[in-house]
Amino acid sequence: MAPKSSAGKEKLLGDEDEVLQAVILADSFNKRFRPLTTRKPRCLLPICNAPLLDWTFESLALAGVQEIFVICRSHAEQVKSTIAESRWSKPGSGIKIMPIMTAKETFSPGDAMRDIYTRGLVTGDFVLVMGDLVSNVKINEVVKAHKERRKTNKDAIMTMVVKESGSRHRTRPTGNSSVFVIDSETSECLHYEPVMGYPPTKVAGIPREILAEHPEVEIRNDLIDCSIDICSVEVPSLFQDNFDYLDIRRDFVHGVLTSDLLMKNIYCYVAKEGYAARVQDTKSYQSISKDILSRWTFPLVPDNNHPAGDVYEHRRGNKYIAKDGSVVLARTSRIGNNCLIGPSTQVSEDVQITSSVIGRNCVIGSGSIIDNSYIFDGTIIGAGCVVEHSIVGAGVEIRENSRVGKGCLVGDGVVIGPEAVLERFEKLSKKRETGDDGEQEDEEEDVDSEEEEIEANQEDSIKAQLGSDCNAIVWPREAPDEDEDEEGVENYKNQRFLRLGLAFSTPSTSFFFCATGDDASDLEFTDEGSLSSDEDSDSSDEDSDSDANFTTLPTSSATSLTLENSTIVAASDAVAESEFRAEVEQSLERAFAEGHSVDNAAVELKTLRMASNVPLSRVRESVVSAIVEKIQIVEGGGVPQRQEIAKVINRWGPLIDKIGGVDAVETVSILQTHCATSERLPLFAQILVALYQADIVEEVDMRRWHALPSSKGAGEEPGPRRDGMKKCWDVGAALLEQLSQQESDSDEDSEGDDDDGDDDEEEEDEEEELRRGPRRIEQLSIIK
Amino acid sequence: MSEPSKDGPPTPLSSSQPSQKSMTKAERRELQERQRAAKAAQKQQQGQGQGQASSSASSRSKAQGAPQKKSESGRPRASSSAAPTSSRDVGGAARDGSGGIDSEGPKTRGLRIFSHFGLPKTSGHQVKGDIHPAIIRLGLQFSEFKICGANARCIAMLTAFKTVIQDYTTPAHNTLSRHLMTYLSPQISHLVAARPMSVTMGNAIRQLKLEISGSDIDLPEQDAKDALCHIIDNYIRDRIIIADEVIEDLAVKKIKDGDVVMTYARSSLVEKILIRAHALNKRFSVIVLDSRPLLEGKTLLRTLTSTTPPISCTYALLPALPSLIKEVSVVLVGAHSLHTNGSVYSRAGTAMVAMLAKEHSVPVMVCCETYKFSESIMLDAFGKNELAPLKFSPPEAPKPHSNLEVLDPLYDSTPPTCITAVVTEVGLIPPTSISSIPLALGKTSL
Amino acid sequence: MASDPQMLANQRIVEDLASRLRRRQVVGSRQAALETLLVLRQVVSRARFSNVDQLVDVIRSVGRRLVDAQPKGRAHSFLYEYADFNHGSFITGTSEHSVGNTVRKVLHHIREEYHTATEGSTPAPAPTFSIAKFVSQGQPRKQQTVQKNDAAKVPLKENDPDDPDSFARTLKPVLMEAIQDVFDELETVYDNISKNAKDHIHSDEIILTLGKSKTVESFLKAAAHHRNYTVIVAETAPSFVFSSFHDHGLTRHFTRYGGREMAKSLSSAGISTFLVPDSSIYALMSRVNKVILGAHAILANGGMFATSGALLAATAARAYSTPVVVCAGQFKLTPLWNLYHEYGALDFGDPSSVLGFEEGDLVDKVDVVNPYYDYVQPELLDAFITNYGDHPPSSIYRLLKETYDDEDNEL
Repeated sequence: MAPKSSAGKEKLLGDEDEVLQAVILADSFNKRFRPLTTRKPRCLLPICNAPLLDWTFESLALAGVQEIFVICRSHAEQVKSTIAESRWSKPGSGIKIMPIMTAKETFSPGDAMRDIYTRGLVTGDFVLVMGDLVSNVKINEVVKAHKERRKTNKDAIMTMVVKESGSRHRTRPTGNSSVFVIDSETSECLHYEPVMGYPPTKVAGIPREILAEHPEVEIRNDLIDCSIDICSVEVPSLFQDNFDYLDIRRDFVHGVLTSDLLMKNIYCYVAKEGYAARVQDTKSYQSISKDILSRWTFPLVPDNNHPAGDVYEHRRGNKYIAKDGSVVLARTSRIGNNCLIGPSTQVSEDVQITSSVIGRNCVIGSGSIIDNSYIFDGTIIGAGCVVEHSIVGAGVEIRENSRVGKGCLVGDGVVIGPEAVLERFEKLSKKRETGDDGEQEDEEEDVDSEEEEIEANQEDSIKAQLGSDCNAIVWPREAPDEDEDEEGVENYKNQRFLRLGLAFSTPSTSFFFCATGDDASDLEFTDEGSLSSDEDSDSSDEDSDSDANFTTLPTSSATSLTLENSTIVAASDAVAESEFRAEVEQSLERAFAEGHSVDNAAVELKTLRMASNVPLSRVRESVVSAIVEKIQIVEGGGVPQRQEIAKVINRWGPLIDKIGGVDAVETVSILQTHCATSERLPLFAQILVALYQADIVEEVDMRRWHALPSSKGAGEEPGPRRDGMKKCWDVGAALLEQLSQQESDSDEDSEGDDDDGDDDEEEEDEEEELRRGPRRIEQLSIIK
Repeated sequence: MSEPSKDGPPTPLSSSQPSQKSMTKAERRELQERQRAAKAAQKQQQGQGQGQASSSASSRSKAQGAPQKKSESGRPRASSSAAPTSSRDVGGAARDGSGGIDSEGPKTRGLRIFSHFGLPKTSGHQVKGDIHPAIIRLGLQFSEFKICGANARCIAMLTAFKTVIQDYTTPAHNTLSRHLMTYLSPQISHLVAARPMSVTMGNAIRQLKLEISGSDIDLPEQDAKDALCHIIDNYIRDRIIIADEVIEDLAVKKIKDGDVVMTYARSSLVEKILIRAHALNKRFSVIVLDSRPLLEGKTLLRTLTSTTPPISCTYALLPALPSLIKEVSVVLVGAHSLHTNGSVYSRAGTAMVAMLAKEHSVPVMVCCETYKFSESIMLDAFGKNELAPLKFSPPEAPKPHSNLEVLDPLYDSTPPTCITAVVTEVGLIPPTSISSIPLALGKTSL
Repeated sequence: MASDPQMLANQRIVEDLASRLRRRQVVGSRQAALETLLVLRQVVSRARFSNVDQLVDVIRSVGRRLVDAQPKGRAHSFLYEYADFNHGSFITGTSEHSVGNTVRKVLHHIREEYHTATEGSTPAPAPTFSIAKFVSQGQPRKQQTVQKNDAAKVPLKENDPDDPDSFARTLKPVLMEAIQDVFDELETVYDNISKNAKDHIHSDEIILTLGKSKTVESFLKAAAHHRNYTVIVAETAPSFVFSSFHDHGLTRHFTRYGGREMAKSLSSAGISTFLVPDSSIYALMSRVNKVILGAHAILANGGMFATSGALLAATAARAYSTPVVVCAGQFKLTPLWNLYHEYGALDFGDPSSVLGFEEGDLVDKVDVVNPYYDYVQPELLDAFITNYGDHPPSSIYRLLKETYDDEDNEL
């Protein structure tokens, strides 16, 4: 018998090759769910009555992951204990889960990755997911594909799982999506471009090289980024090397792809079947709940494989009722489609519940209406209340005849009412009793401090609204000013796109908030963004089309493209900009002082640029200005001055072209704009000449620059700056005049003019082809 | 029997030749016709004017016959005249399949059974005779299923005919009333070649012929033409547009608040009814059932959900029907044609929906204008059917080969026993009594 | 007892299978049955018991665990005492009945072996007359059992105080063989079913079948050796095809139209095949001589759960009074009475195979229904062809009584 049974065991525990590891970043590193997340980490928020973390575990288990590291930061203790109690730590769960508490100083996924590296957690290729993932994608197959690729190409360090969804899908975060440029055959990810709701991303810049090197590219704006990444061991170390990678997508991926140094590539896996999405904001919380209830996540559905182990009965119309018979539904209560009702919850007479989730041990008072809302465990809702499009935390008490408007977040333990009225997008949390919070974590404290200040400025008007016996404090609806200079996605205005309670986009209204009378509509917003991106996705549909669009690119376009998205970046993260500027200046000073070789200096700049993710033009700008500033002004000017200039230019001029990408025209423009305001204005001509002699600027370039209206100072508000520009321009004109005189044959001149002509035309059709809104002129003016 | 080798596109004929001995009479006749047609076609290519006359004559002889009989014999003829390159899809395969395997007995049985199905056409089929551009365009739209559905096709055809008639000039020593039809016949047969003619088209054409032959000889030509166009307009207005409105009014009455309406695929009429009911603020929900090959239900779904507020819809494929039928309060389906014995010829799948509805005693209402009535008996959808072109079979579907055929029949016929009522512009009537309505028989006009 | 490492080991493998069932990584009756059997075999081999009841209890507990692992599995108890409350209710279908069935069968065998081993000491049940036994006379496994009986002629005393394990030691080998028999039966089930396929399919017939059922597939192929006939395969949309036994469910894959797979394999086996969409079943039925279906589970009343679309086909068949024949292995016999036919089998898949996830705006506004199974009433079926011979729906209950012991109906 023995051999037989052992054979049986083999069969049973068959097909497990080496252990598949996964790392979960259990911290959100943002505050989108405040105040729900003041006392509880986001990954423990329930969705469909099971903590997010459990869904993530189950998703990974589904994919045959055997070993999971959970990186937790805020409320780490809670996470740890929850895991310890969960069924996952029981024998036979087949999964080993190790919570890792990282330092309080880890403020970004990047830091977490560095932590992973320093601890040396992962041994081989591993799956990197966020603590808020819900998926039934067969990740193990992606891993297989990844390993195959690794065999042939050692530089394939990462595979991102993305899901086709169409550009307008409830589960696709409008405020925080992204454009992927993918090679059609190899499915290598060539370029990554974050897309934001505000400021609206109008254009996606595609570096020229990509189109040159790859015959067929897909530019896709219709993908959900599941942020399931199959990473190789190098990835954490890369984070370690690049201390300033913060976000995995915007910094790491973008960095790796744009880097000219580390020749690594990243691939995309477009999941054909299966479902995967992240609960990264209240809006996606809602849409994912809906997806779960309408069974997109099968077999991960309440009635089949509920992560929390509850048993639900699935009824016609996707109604899920806890099956232990503990639920009490009054005869006259009406449960609409797509509802989930937790164990031992009581629903009284005449209650209407539509597409909502009710937690365990809740009590819904008679006559209440609950629509598209998510009510956590143990909440009591009085009679005659109306709750719509809101999230109500655990143990909340909403007294009778209260009204909770769309998009409200009510923190745990809040008591409001009776007759309370919550405006739309109100955020409530419970007033702190002293000694209420057990573990004194410092970030807990800063929460408290924040709360204190909030409590400080509570107007009584609101308190009146919240009913007599209310213990809640209202969070400010307008963003504190410092939020404004928060970087990109966390920008307050952009966040508004990610809020629960906004109608979903419909084909008729290209952006959802236009429909609802929501205050987000005050964001001045043009459809262009959505349009252009849509067209991107269109062109991705048939590659031939996208070819037609992009292989015929005029060479000058790519630079101007990068310029354009620099407009976005500029708009979004001014902070990074200024920091970067400072960095560059320092490094250059060092270079000048210590007399580095040009190449070394260039390398330094490149890394800098990658690190803080700024477009090429910025670097050039700073370099040029730095060089110009380096030139001492010799009293009386004349020959010594010219020598001085020549010296500097000859020594450092080449650097301008070494920083990657050559655009002499731009160089000149920058020079001009810089001189226009600096006291080196008089030197402009000489510098220009010097550049010309150093072959950094050709005559043609100068002509082109000269042809640019912006060079005349067009679009400049009158003032010293404009005069400066003008002056420079005149000087340039004179210079060109001389040059053309030097050249004896006159047709050179006309040719030059031709160039201008061609150039303009070129630009024209570039624009048609790429549907770029603003012209180069604005681009330049923006850079200033 | 030596002709085929001489003329006509070789492939289909030569392949079906060996099987002739075992062929039925009907099929042999078909073949001969096919060859005649092909011959005529070639003659025309040689550019002899009288070639047209002969072909048109042949098609005239059929033109008088009952519409769907014509369309049947029309089909294979067209397919043979189709460009042998691309048009040899399912049907083509089926045919030369039967030819090839004839030697090894039993298999052909299975194959031959389906060999008479309407063969899907492709846009590639050649234009013979002087076909009016409008008709050619229409032909393409038909064969590409750009215009699909009984009503749409009928209206499109009539409007096209209007232009044709306007551009028509009676040749010398001939009268419009006599000659126009001979001129129209090749146009018609072209359309038939593009896609088997629908009953609605047949009826409309019959009506038109009547009018043409009846048109006054002394009338100046232009007036006569205008008169005809006017008649056509009236036909469209009375028999289709207004009829639809009447039917909407009648059907909407049958939708009550809280009802669950089930429909199958997409009928333009049913769509209108639902939209209307929604406009009248009736609170009802819709279950849209759907199935390959056409998956028209999705189109319906889009229109229904794009209303404000969107009608609450449930979408499922046909096999899910048993799980849903319980909650349905009424089934609304459209029809392609309605037959004397009361059977409804409609999109494949309708029959099963009706059948199961009857099982669970859910009323089944067929919405159908009287001009869809056809004076013929239809016992099952086997005698007459049509196959969807290959473009509708998805890429992952297996490619047909010697043993494997992919058939996508477009229609089936619902027995009268499964139908509660037919909603016509003359009221709700039991399916069998359609033949007792003079209007349907075209005896009277509105 | 649970502290016992062996018990822990058992618990682990049971849990493992349980979770794989829950995650639908083990799909398809036969695969589920095989997996269950493997687990049971280990459990038995590890189990420590000093009398048969302990063993039975151990196995039962395992069975219960496995059945409950699939929440739908609760249907068993549900069918009998289901407390309805005001929102109208339906029986919950079960994902894999064959798990419970296998456990029952094993229990049955254990008892049988126990009785044969200790005949005399405990009265063996009177050899009842049985259709199944009668039909399956002269089957290899019968011979085996006969030999085994001779082999296992060992004095056997229960609850031996001084050596509690003696009972287990003596009985285990026999039990392992018994389980092995069930195993062999599962292995050979297809061949045994298609043994007399040629008696059911005659030359020049046109057969209609649905989707992909391995049983039907092998049945038809077997018939093709003797007969020349035509098969019409309806591509039941969307149906799922489960991976074969050896690669574990991990590579479970849904094919949207199981019929396509079926058509491919049949035609490649030289059978002239037509692939048609579901919509045309009714239109073609008038020419069909026989409808052959696979079953997911055969219920005690002679009805069955089968892949969705089966009910439509069966009803259409009745409309043309075409015989409907069901091919199924005996392990699909389930001691259940489906009292509430309301909502099919109530196992619903994901909408993605019906309406693409990429249809952004539709996804938001439209509810999609995608059931796996239909419940087909016995009145619509004409015959069951099992590896235990052919039976009319009306005699299924009898077959059940012989296959399982009544006390196991409720695990």
